[in-house]
Amino acid sequence: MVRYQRADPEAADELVRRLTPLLFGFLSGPTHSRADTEDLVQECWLRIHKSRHTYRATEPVLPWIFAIARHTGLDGYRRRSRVDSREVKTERLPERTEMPELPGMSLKDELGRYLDQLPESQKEVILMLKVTGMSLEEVARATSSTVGAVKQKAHRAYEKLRRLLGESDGYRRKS
Amino acid sequence: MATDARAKLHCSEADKAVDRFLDRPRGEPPAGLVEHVTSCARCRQLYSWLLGPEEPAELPNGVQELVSRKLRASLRPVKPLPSTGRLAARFVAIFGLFAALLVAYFGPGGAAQMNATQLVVVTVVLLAAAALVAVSLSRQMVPGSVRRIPLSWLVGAFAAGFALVVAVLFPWERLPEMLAGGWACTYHGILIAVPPGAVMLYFAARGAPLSYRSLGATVGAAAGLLSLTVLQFSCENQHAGHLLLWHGGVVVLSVAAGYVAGWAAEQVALRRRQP
Repeated sequence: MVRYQRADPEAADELVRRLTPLLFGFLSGPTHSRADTEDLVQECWLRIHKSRHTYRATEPVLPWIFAIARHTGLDGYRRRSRVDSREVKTERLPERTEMPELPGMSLKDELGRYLDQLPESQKEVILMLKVTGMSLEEVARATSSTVGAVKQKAHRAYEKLRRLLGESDGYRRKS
Repeated sequence: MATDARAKLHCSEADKAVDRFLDRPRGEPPAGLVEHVTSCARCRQLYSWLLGPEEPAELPNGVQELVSRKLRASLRPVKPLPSTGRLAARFVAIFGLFAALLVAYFGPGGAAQMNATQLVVVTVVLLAAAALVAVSLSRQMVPGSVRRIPLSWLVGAFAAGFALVVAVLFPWERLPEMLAGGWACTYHGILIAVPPGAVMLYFAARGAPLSYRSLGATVGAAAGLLSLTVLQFSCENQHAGHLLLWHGGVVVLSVAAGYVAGWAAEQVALRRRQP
Protein backbone atom coordinates (compact mmCIF):
# COMPACT_ATOMS: atom_id res chain seq x y z
CA MET A 1 0.00 0.00 0.00
CA VAL A 2 2.88 2.36 0.83
CA ARG A 3 4.50 1.54 -2.54
CA TYR A 4 1.15 2.21 -4.21
CA GLN A 5 1.08 5.64 -2.52
CA ARG A 6 4.54 6.23 -4.00
CA ALA A 7 3.08 5.49 -7.46
CA ASP A 8 4.72 2.08 -7.98
CA PRO A 9 2.67 0.52 -10.84
CA GLU A 10 3.60 -3.04 -9.83
CA ALA A 11 2.34 -2.42 -6.31
CA ALA A 12 -0.95 -1.17 -7.76
CA ASP A 13 -1.28 -4.34 -9.88
CA GLU A 14 -0.47 -6.53 -6.89
CA LEU A 15 -3.14 -4.83 -4.76
CA VAL A 16 -5.72 -5.19 -7.52
CA ARG A 17 -4.84 -8.87 -7.96
CA ARG A 18 -5.07 -9.64 -4.25
CA LEU A 19 -8.06 -7.54 -3.27
CA THR A 20 -10.43 -7.68 -6.23
CA PRO A 21 -11.68 -11.23 -5.43
CA LEU A 22 -12.41 -10.15 -1.82
CA LEU A 23 -14.20 -7.01 -3.00
CA PHE A 24 -16.18 -9.05 -5.50
CA GLY A 25 -17.23 -11.49 -2.78
CA PHE A 26 -18.24 -8.67 -0.44
CA LEU A 27 -20.08 -6.52 -2.98
CA SER A 28 -21.94 -9.31 -4.74
CA GLY A 29 -25.37 -10.11 -3.38
CA PRO A 30 -28.45 -12.11 -4.36
CA THR A 31 -30.20 -8.96 -5.62
CA HIS A 32 -27.22 -7.79 -7.72
CA SER A 33 -26.59 -8.92 -11.26
CA ARG A 34 -23.03 -9.83 -12.15
CA ALA A 35 -22.76 -6.65 -14.22
CA ASP A 36 -23.94 -4.56 -11.22
CA THR A 37 -21.29 -6.15 -9.01
CA GLU A 38 -18.63 -5.56 -11.66
CA ASP A 39 -19.60 -1.86 -11.82
CA LEU A 40 -19.52 -1.61 -8.01
CA VAL A 41 -16.06 -3.19 -7.84
CA GLN A 42 -14.72 -0.76 -10.45
CA GLU A 43 -16.31 2.20 -8.66
CA CYS A 44 -14.86 0.99 -5.38
CA TRP A 45 -11.36 0.83 -6.89
CA LEU A 46 -11.70 4.39 -8.19
CA ARG A 47 -12.69 5.56 -4.70
CA ILE A 48 -9.77 3.68 -3.16
CA HIS A 49 -7.49 5.34 -5.71
CA LYS A 50 -8.82 8.84 -4.93
CA SER A 51 -8.56 8.26 -1.18
CA ARG A 52 -5.14 6.58 -1.15
CA HIS A 53 -3.50 9.59 0.54
CA THR A 54 -5.62 8.90 3.66
CA TYR A 55 -4.05 5.46 4.27
CA ARG A 56 -1.40 5.45 6.99
CA ALA A 57 1.32 2.81 7.03
CA THR A 58 0.83 2.25 10.77
CA GLU A 59 -2.82 1.18 10.32
CA PRO A 60 -4.20 -2.15 9.03
CA VAL A 61 -5.12 -2.02 5.36
CA LEU A 62 -8.25 -4.21 5.21
CA PRO A 63 -10.48 -2.04 7.45
CA TRP A 64 -9.45 0.98 5.36
CA ILE A 65 -10.31 -0.82 2.10
CA PHE A 66 -13.57 -2.30 3.37
CA ALA A 67 -14.78 0.95 4.93
CA ILE A 68 -14.62 2.37 1.40
CA ALA A 69 -16.16 -0.79 -0.10
CA ARG A 70 -19.00 -0.69 2.41
CA HIS A 71 -19.91 2.87 1.42
CA THR A 72 -19.63 2.03 -2.27
CA GLY A 73 -22.12 -0.78 -1.68
CA LEU A 74 -24.45 1.50 0.35
CA ASP A 75 -24.39 4.16 -2.38
CA GLY A 76 -25.09 1.49 -4.98
CA TYR A 77 -28.07 0.33 -2.93
CA ARG A 78 -29.36 3.91 -2.57
CA ARG A 79 -28.97 4.53 -6.30
CA ARG A 80 -30.91 1.36 -7.10
CA SER A 81 -33.63 2.37 -4.62
CA ARG A 82 -33.96 5.77 -6.33
CA VAL A 83 -34.28 4.16 -9.74
CA ASP A 84 -36.75 1.55 -8.44
CA SER A 85 -38.92 4.22 -6.79
CA ARG A 86 -39.19 6.14 -10.08
CA GLU A 87 -39.71 3.25 -12.43
CA VAL A 88 -43.29 2.54 -13.47
CA LYS A 89 -44.01 -1.12 -12.94
CA THR A 90 -45.61 -2.58 -16.05
CA GLU A 91 -46.63 -5.77 -14.34
CA ARG A 92 -47.32 -6.80 -10.80
CA LEU A 93 -44.58 -8.88 -9.25
CA PRO A 94 -45.67 -12.00 -7.37
CA GLU A 95 -45.84 -11.73 -3.60
CA ARG A 96 -42.79 -13.10 -1.81
CA THR A 97 -43.62 -16.53 -0.50
CA GLU A 98 -41.93 -19.02 1.78
CA MET A 99 -38.57 -19.85 0.33
CA PRO A 100 -39.00 -22.70 -2.11
CA GLU A 101 -36.26 -25.28 -2.29
CA LEU A 102 -34.85 -25.33 -5.79
CA PRO A 103 -33.28 -28.47 -7.22
CA GLY A 104 -29.52 -28.33 -7.48
CA MET A 105 -29.21 -25.43 -5.06
CA SER A 106 -25.95 -25.51 -3.12
CA LEU A 107 -25.63 -25.08 0.62
CA LYS A 108 -23.98 -21.70 0.06
CA ASP A 109 -26.81 -20.50 -2.21
CA GLU A 110 -29.37 -21.63 0.32
CA LEU A 111 -27.62 -19.89 3.20
CA GLY A 112 -27.23 -16.83 0.95
CA ARG A 113 -31.01 -16.63 0.72
CA TYR A 114 -31.29 -16.77 4.52
CA LEU A 115 -28.60 -14.10 4.83
CA ASP A 116 -30.64 -11.92 2.49
CA GLN A 117 -33.43 -11.89 5.09
CA LEU A 118 -31.17 -10.31 7.72
CA PRO A 119 -31.06 -6.54 8.29
CA GLU A 120 -28.36 -4.98 6.09
CA SER A 121 -26.15 -4.05 9.08
CA GLN A 122 -26.12 -7.63 10.40
CA LYS A 123 -25.54 -9.13 6.97
CA GLU A 124 -22.54 -6.91 6.25
CA VAL A 125 -20.93 -7.87 9.57
CA ILE A 126 -21.33 -11.59 8.81
CA LEU A 127 -19.99 -11.10 5.26
CA MET A 128 -17.00 -9.08 6.47
CA LEU A 129 -16.12 -11.64 9.12
CA LYS A 130 -16.32 -14.47 6.63
CA VAL A 131 -15.39 -13.11 3.19
CA THR A 132 -12.56 -10.82 4.26
CA GLY A 133 -11.30 -12.80 7.26
CA MET A 134 -11.07 -9.61 9.33
CA SER A 135 -11.11 -9.68 13.13
CA LEU A 136 -13.93 -8.12 15.17
CA GLU A 137 -11.70 -5.10 15.84
CA GLU A 138 -11.06 -4.66 12.11
CA VAL A 139 -14.73 -5.07 11.21
CA ALA A 140 -15.52 -2.43 13.86
CA ARG A 141 -13.10 -0.06 12.15
CA ALA A 142 -14.52 -0.78 8.69
CA THR A 143 -18.10 -0.19 9.84
CA SER A 144 -17.27 2.92 11.95
CA SER A 145 -18.57 1.05 14.94
CA THR A 146 -17.37 -0.40 18.22
CA VAL A 147 -16.23 -4.00 18.85
CA GLY A 148 -19.18 -4.46 21.22
CA ALA A 149 -21.65 -3.35 18.56
CA VAL A 150 -20.10 -5.70 15.96
CA LYS A 151 -20.28 -8.64 18.40
CA GLN A 152 -23.89 -7.83 19.14
CA LYS A 153 -24.80 -7.63 15.44
CA ALA A 154 -23.04 -10.93 14.69
CA HIS A 155 -24.78 -12.68 17.58
CA ARG A 156 -28.18 -11.28 16.60
CA ALA A 157 -27.59 -12.36 13.01
CA TYR A 158 -26.86 -15.92 14.15
CA GLU A 159 -29.89 -15.96 16.43
CA LYS A 160 -32.06 -14.95 13.48
CA LEU A 161 -30.41 -17.47 11.13
CA ARG A 162 -30.99 -20.22 13.70
CA ARG A 163 -34.64 -19.19 13.98
CA LEU A 164 -35.09 -19.04 10.19
CA LEU A 165 -33.48 -22.42 9.84
CA GLY A 166 -35.70 -23.85 12.56
CA GLU A 167 -38.82 -22.49 10.80
CA SER A 168 -37.63 -23.83 7.48
CA ASP A 169 -37.01 -27.29 8.98
CA GLY A 170 -40.52 -27.25 10.48
CA TYR A 171 -41.96 -26.20 7.14
CA ARG A 172 -40.14 -29.02 5.36
CA ARG A 173 -41.23 -31.57 7.93
CA LYS A 174 -44.90 -30.48 7.56
CA SER A 175 -44.76 -30.68 3.78
CA MET B 1 -13.51 -41.04 24.97
CA ALA B 2 -12.86 -37.34 24.60
CA THR B 3 -13.55 -37.53 20.87
CA ASP B 4 -16.87 -39.32 21.55
CA ALA B 5 -17.86 -36.67 24.05
CA ARG B 6 -17.07 -33.91 21.56
CA ALA B 7 -18.98 -35.68 18.79
CA LYS B 8 -22.03 -35.74 21.07
CA LEU B 9 -22.06 -31.96 21.31
CA HIS B 10 -25.65 -30.75 21.38
CA CYS B 11 -26.84 -28.12 18.83
CA SER B 12 -27.36 -25.50 21.57
CA GLU B 13 -23.76 -26.10 22.75
CA ALA B 14 -22.59 -25.76 19.14
CA ASP B 15 -24.44 -22.43 18.94
CA LYS B 16 -22.59 -21.25 22.05
CA ALA B 17 -19.28 -22.51 20.66
CA VAL B 18 -19.87 -20.53 17.46
CA ASP B 19 -20.64 -17.41 19.52
CA ARG B 20 -17.38 -17.90 21.44
CA PHE B 21 -15.53 -18.45 18.15
CA LEU B 22 -16.92 -15.13 16.86
CA ASP B 23 -15.75 -13.37 20.02
CA ARG B 24 -12.11 -14.32 19.41
CA PRO B 25 -10.11 -12.39 16.79
CA ARG B 26 -9.30 -15.16 14.28
CA GLY B 27 -8.18 -18.72 14.55
CA GLU B 28 -9.23 -22.28 13.95
CA PRO B 29 -12.70 -23.33 15.15
CA PRO B 30 -12.58 -25.85 18.04
CA ALA B 31 -12.28 -29.49 16.91
CA GLY B 32 -15.48 -30.54 18.74
CA LEU B 33 -17.46 -27.89 16.92
CA VAL B 34 -16.13 -28.94 13.53
CA GLU B 35 -17.01 -32.59 14.26
CA HIS B 36 -20.52 -31.67 15.35
CA VAL B 37 -21.06 -29.47 12.30
CA THR B 38 -19.93 -32.30 10.05
CA SER B 39 -22.36 -34.78 11.59
CA CYS B 40 -25.42 -32.53 12.21
CA ALA B 41 -27.55 -31.48 9.21
CA ARG B 42 -28.95 -28.37 10.90
CA CYS B 43 -25.56 -27.02 12.03
CA ARG B 44 -23.88 -28.01 8.76
CA GLN B 45 -26.39 -25.87 6.88
CA LEU B 46 -25.92 -22.98 9.27
CA TYR B 47 -22.21 -22.97 10.05
CA SER B 48 -20.21 -24.89 7.44
CA TRP B 49 -19.99 -21.77 5.28
CA LEU B 50 -18.68 -19.76 8.23
CA LEU B 51 -16.22 -22.32 9.54
CA GLY B 52 -14.96 -23.68 6.23
CA PRO B 53 -12.37 -22.07 3.98
CA GLU B 54 -13.59 -19.19 1.84
CA GLU B 55 -13.90 -20.05 -1.85
CA PRO B 56 -12.36 -17.34 -4.03
CA ALA B 57 -14.98 -15.37 -5.95
CA GLU B 58 -15.18 -16.11 -9.65
CA LEU B 59 -14.17 -12.94 -11.43
CA PRO B 60 -15.46 -11.99 -14.87
CA ASN B 61 -12.75 -11.90 -17.51
CA GLY B 62 -10.77 -8.71 -17.78
CA VAL B 63 -12.05 -6.91 -14.65
CA GLN B 64 -8.68 -6.90 -12.90
CA GLU B 65 -6.86 -5.81 -16.07
CA LEU B 66 -9.38 -3.01 -16.64
CA VAL B 67 -9.03 -1.75 -13.05
CA SER B 68 -5.22 -1.97 -13.19
CA ARG B 69 -5.18 0.00 -16.46
CA LYS B 70 -7.40 2.72 -14.98
CA LEU B 71 -5.29 3.03 -11.83
CA ARG B 72 -1.99 3.09 -13.74
CA ALA B 73 -3.32 5.87 -16.00
CA SER B 74 -3.61 8.29 -13.07
CA LEU B 75 -0.92 6.95 -10.75
CA ARG B 76 0.93 9.84 -9.08
CA PRO B 77 2.80 9.89 -5.75
CA VAL B 78 0.66 11.14 -2.86
CA LYS B 79 1.61 12.45 0.57
CA PRO B 80 -0.16 10.57 3.37
CA LEU B 81 -2.29 12.58 5.79
CA PRO B 82 -0.72 13.48 9.15
CA SER B 83 -1.65 11.49 12.27
CA THR B 84 -5.08 11.84 13.91
CA GLY B 85 -3.46 13.79 16.77
CA ARG B 86 -1.96 16.36 14.41
CA LEU B 87 -5.19 16.70 12.45
CA ALA B 88 -7.16 17.17 15.68
CA ALA B 89 -4.63 19.76 16.88
CA ARG B 90 -5.20 21.65 13.62
CA PHE B 91 -8.96 21.72 14.22
CA VAL B 92 -8.50 22.83 17.85
CA ALA B 93 -6.17 25.61 16.61
CA ILE B 94 -8.82 26.80 14.12
CA PHE B 95 -11.39 26.68 16.94
CA GLY B 96 -9.15 28.65 19.32
CA LEU B 97 -8.18 31.24 16.72
CA PHE B 98 -11.77 31.97 15.67
CA ALA B 99 -12.97 32.01 19.30
CA ALA B 100 -10.25 34.46 20.38
CA LEU B 101 -10.84 36.78 17.40
CA LEU B 102 -14.62 36.79 17.79
CA VAL B 103 -14.58 37.28 21.58
CA ALA B 104 -12.14 40.16 21.08
CA TYR B 105 -14.47 41.63 18.43
CA PHE B 106 -17.70 41.31 20.46
CA GLY B 107 -16.03 42.11 23.81
CA PRO B 108 -15.62 39.84 26.86
CA GLY B 109 -18.82 41.11 28.57
CA GLY B 110 -19.96 37.60 29.48
CA ALA B 111 -16.63 36.60 31.03
CA ALA B 112 -16.81 39.70 33.24
CA GLN B 113 -20.23 38.57 34.54
CA MET B 114 -19.04 35.09 35.56
CA ASN B 115 -17.38 34.29 38.90
CA ALA B 116 -14.12 32.28 38.99
CA THR B 117 -15.83 28.88 39.45
CA GLN B 118 -18.26 29.47 36.58
CA LEU B 119 -15.44 30.71 34.35
CA VAL B 120 -13.15 27.73 35.04
CA VAL B 121 -15.83 25.00 34.83
CA VAL B 122 -17.46 26.40 31.66
CA THR B 123 -14.06 26.84 29.98
CA VAL B 124 -13.05 23.26 30.81
CA VAL B 125 -16.37 21.83 29.52
CA LEU B 126 -16.18 23.83 26.27
CA LEU B 127 -12.51 22.97 25.67
CA ALA B 128 -13.13 19.27 26.31
CA ALA B 129 -16.05 19.31 23.89
CA ALA B 130 -13.94 21.12 21.27
CA ALA B 131 -11.19 18.50 21.63
CA LEU B 132 -13.67 15.61 21.27
CA VAL B 133 -15.29 17.13 18.19
CA ALA B 134 -11.83 17.77 16.69
CA VAL B 135 -10.85 14.11 17.21
CA SER B 136 -14.15 12.97 15.69
CA LEU B 137 -13.62 15.18 12.61
CA SER B 138 -10.04 13.91 12.19
CA ARG B 139 -11.18 10.28 12.37
CA GLN B 140 -13.92 10.86 9.82
CA MET B 141 -11.28 12.09 7.37
CA VAL B 142 -9.68 8.61 7.35
CA PRO B 143 -11.75 5.54 6.35
CA GLY B 144 -11.52 2.62 8.76
CA SER B 145 -10.48 4.71 11.77
CA VAL B 146 -10.93 3.38 15.29
CA ARG B 147 -14.15 4.48 16.95
CA ARG B 148 -14.30 3.38 20.57
CA ILE B 149 -17.25 5.54 21.61
CA PRO B 150 -20.18 6.24 19.24
CA LEU B 151 -20.52 9.89 18.15
CA SER B 152 -24.10 10.06 19.43
CA TRP B 153 -22.88 9.18 22.96
CA LEU B 154 -20.30 11.99 22.82
CA VAL B 155 -22.92 14.52 21.72
CA GLY B 156 -25.30 13.29 24.43
CA ALA B 157 -22.58 13.43 27.11
CA PHE B 158 -21.62 16.99 26.13
CA ALA B 159 -25.26 18.18 26.04
CA ALA B 160 -25.95 16.62 29.46
CA GLY B 161 -22.68 17.96 30.93
CA PHE B 162 -23.22 21.50 29.66
CA ALA B 163 -26.87 21.53 30.79
CA LEU B 164 -25.90 20.26 34.26
CA VAL B 165 -23.09 22.79 34.69
CA VAL B 166 -25.28 25.69 33.60
CA ALA B 167 -28.29 24.55 35.63
CA VAL B 168 -26.22 24.16 38.80
CA LEU B 169 -23.76 27.06 38.56
CA PHE B 170 -25.82 29.85 37.01
CA PRO B 171 -28.84 31.67 38.50
CA TRP B 172 -32.29 31.02 37.00
CA GLU B 173 -34.51 33.85 35.75
CA ARG B 174 -38.31 33.93 35.47
CA LEU B 175 -39.93 32.58 32.29
CA PRO B 176 -40.89 35.94 30.68
CA GLU B 177 -37.32 37.22 31.18
CA MET B 178 -35.94 34.01 29.74
CA LEU B 179 -38.03 34.31 26.58
CA ALA B 180 -37.48 38.06 26.05
CA GLY B 181 -34.77 39.16 23.66
CA GLY B 182 -33.03 35.81 23.38
CA TRP B 183 -33.60 35.36 19.67
CA ALA B 184 -30.94 38.00 18.88
CA CYS B 185 -28.32 35.77 20.55
CA THR B 186 -29.38 32.71 18.52
CA TYR B 187 -29.47 34.74 15.29
CA HIS B 188 -25.98 36.16 15.85
CA GLY B 189 -24.75 32.75 16.99
CA ILE B 190 -25.83 31.17 13.71
CA LEU B 191 -24.14 33.93 11.70
CA ILE B 192 -20.96 33.48 13.76
CA ALA B 193 -20.99 29.72 13.07
CA VAL B 194 -20.91 30.00 9.27
CA PRO B 195 -17.29 31.15 8.54
CA PRO B 196 -15.52 28.73 10.93
CA GLY B 197 -17.84 25.96 9.74
CA ALA B 198 -16.76 26.62 6.14
CA VAL B 199 -13.06 26.59 7.11
CA MET B 200 -13.41 23.31 9.06
CA LEU B 201 -15.33 21.75 6.16
CA TYR B 202 -12.54 22.78 3.78
CA PHE B 203 -9.92 21.04 5.95
CA ALA B 204 -12.11 17.97 6.58
CA ALA B 205 -12.70 17.57 2.83
CA ARG B 206 -8.93 17.07 2.34
CA GLY B 207 -9.40 13.60 3.76
CA ALA B 208 -11.86 11.01 2.45
CA PRO B 209 -15.01 11.36 4.57
CA LEU B 210 -17.36 8.52 3.76
CA SER B 211 -20.64 9.76 5.24
CA TYR B 212 -21.54 13.30 4.22
CA ARG B 213 -24.40 13.37 6.72
CA SER B 214 -22.16 12.42 9.62
CA LEU B 215 -19.47 14.88 8.50
CA GLY B 216 -22.06 17.65 8.06
CA ALA B 217 -23.48 17.07 11.55
CA THR B 218 -19.97 17.01 13.10
CA VAL B 219 -18.85 20.19 11.31
CA GLY B 220 -22.18 21.73 12.42
CA ALA B 221 -21.46 20.64 16.00
CA ALA B 222 -17.94 22.14 15.87
CA ALA B 223 -19.19 25.45 14.41
CA GLY B 224 -22.13 25.56 16.85
CA LEU B 225 -19.81 24.87 19.76
CA LEU B 226 -17.57 27.73 18.65
CA SER B 227 -20.61 30.03 18.53
CA LEU B 228 -21.67 28.85 21.97
CA THR B 229 -18.19 29.66 23.29
CA VAL B 230 -18.22 33.15 21.78
CA LEU B 231 -21.73 33.84 23.12
CA GLN B 232 -20.79 32.48 26.56
CA PHE B 233 -17.86 34.88 26.86
CA SER B 234 -19.48 37.87 25.15
CA CYS B 235 -23.16 37.90 26.13
CA GLU B 236 -23.92 39.79 29.33
CA ASN B 237 -27.08 37.81 30.08
CA GLN B 238 -25.67 34.93 32.15
CA HIS B 239 -28.92 33.40 33.39
CA ALA B 240 -29.31 29.62 33.15
CA GLY B 241 -32.52 29.66 31.09
CA HIS B 242 -31.08 32.10 28.56
CA LEU B 243 -27.84 30.12 28.22
CA LEU B 244 -29.61 26.80 27.75
CA LEU B 245 -32.41 27.91 25.44
CA TRP B 246 -30.89 30.63 23.27
CA HIS B 247 -27.17 29.80 23.37
CA GLY B 248 -27.59 26.01 23.47
CA GLY B 249 -30.15 26.32 20.66
CA VAL B 250 -27.35 27.49 18.33
CA VAL B 251 -25.60 24.12 18.69
CA VAL B 252 -28.83 22.20 18.03
CA LEU B 253 -29.61 24.31 14.95
CA SER B 254 -26.02 24.05 13.64
CA VAL B 255 -25.98 20.25 13.98
CA ALA B 256 -29.36 20.04 12.21
CA ALA B 257 -28.23 22.42 9.44
CA GLY B 258 -24.99 20.46 8.99
CA TYR B 259 -26.87 17.17 8.77
CA VAL B 260 -29.33 18.55 6.18
CA ALA B 261 -26.44 20.04 4.15
CA GLY B 262 -24.66 16.66 4.27
CA TRP B 263 -27.82 14.87 3.17
CA ALA B 264 -28.23 17.32 0.25
CA ALA B 265 -24.58 16.82 -0.77
CA GLU B 266 -25.11 13.05 -0.66
CA GLN B 267 -28.16 13.32 -2.95
CA VAL B 268 -26.19 15.45 -5.42
CA ALA B 269 -23.31 12.94 -5.38
CA LEU B 270 -25.70 10.02 -5.94
CA ARG B 271 -27.34 11.82 -8.87
CA ARG B 272 -23.93 12.50 -10.43
CA ARG B 273 -22.95 8.85 -10.18
CA GLN B 274 -26.28 7.71 -11.68
CA PRO B 275 -25.52 5.74 -14.84
